[in-house]
Amino acid sequence: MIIFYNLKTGNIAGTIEGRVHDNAHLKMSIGDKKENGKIVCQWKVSKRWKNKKGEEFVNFEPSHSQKKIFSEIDEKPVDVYKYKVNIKTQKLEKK
Amino acid sequence: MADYGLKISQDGYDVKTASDTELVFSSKFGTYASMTIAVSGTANKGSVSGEQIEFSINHSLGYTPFILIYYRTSVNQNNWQWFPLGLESLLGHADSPDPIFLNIYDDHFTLNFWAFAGNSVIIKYYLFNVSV
Repeated sequence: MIIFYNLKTGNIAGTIEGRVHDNAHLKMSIGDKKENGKIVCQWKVSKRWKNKKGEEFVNFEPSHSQKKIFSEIDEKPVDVYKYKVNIKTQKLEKK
Repeated sequence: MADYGLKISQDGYDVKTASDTELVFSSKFGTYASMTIAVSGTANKGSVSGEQIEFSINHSLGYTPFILIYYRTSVNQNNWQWFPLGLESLLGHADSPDPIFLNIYDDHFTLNFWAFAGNSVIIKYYLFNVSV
């Protein structure tokens, strides 16, 4: 997910959903580029394993210090608006 | 139609014998049947004071995408409404001073409408891999 937030208030202006973002997504913006900053959370492989048949399995998780929050938001994206961004720390905080 | 193309069957079905309904994809379905979401997300306007608001999203897709938009307001938090239907709840009154615009370009789209005072508005957008 990519989160756009107001650089003065920390209020979230919008999101781009998804777990893996390519250059096309990274070029996107919501609202005025001068007014809004962004937080990018990419999902990366956290674990690989094979079962007895040799079939390979892969787990992904958010590659971000707030991965628990991003996992929750991944299941219900609109819940992102229960948060705002702390301008100093660039972290999500519950409103 | 000549018997060539690309097919992908659902799990458990042999792609060589699967019927159309047992396929995930077939090139014979045409462009719109294989339409997928190129990008999706949300945008938010906090408390508005009875004013014309604008959502502006730069997508950089390089084509004018087929688009779907839903919205919900702080008054109506438990359901999404399909834009532009149901906008009377958003407009507040029939003689709203400004028209509604959805302008879509090959690098961005803008959505403008007059929002009822006291509302916050969230839109959910889906941009598809098909050009209008």
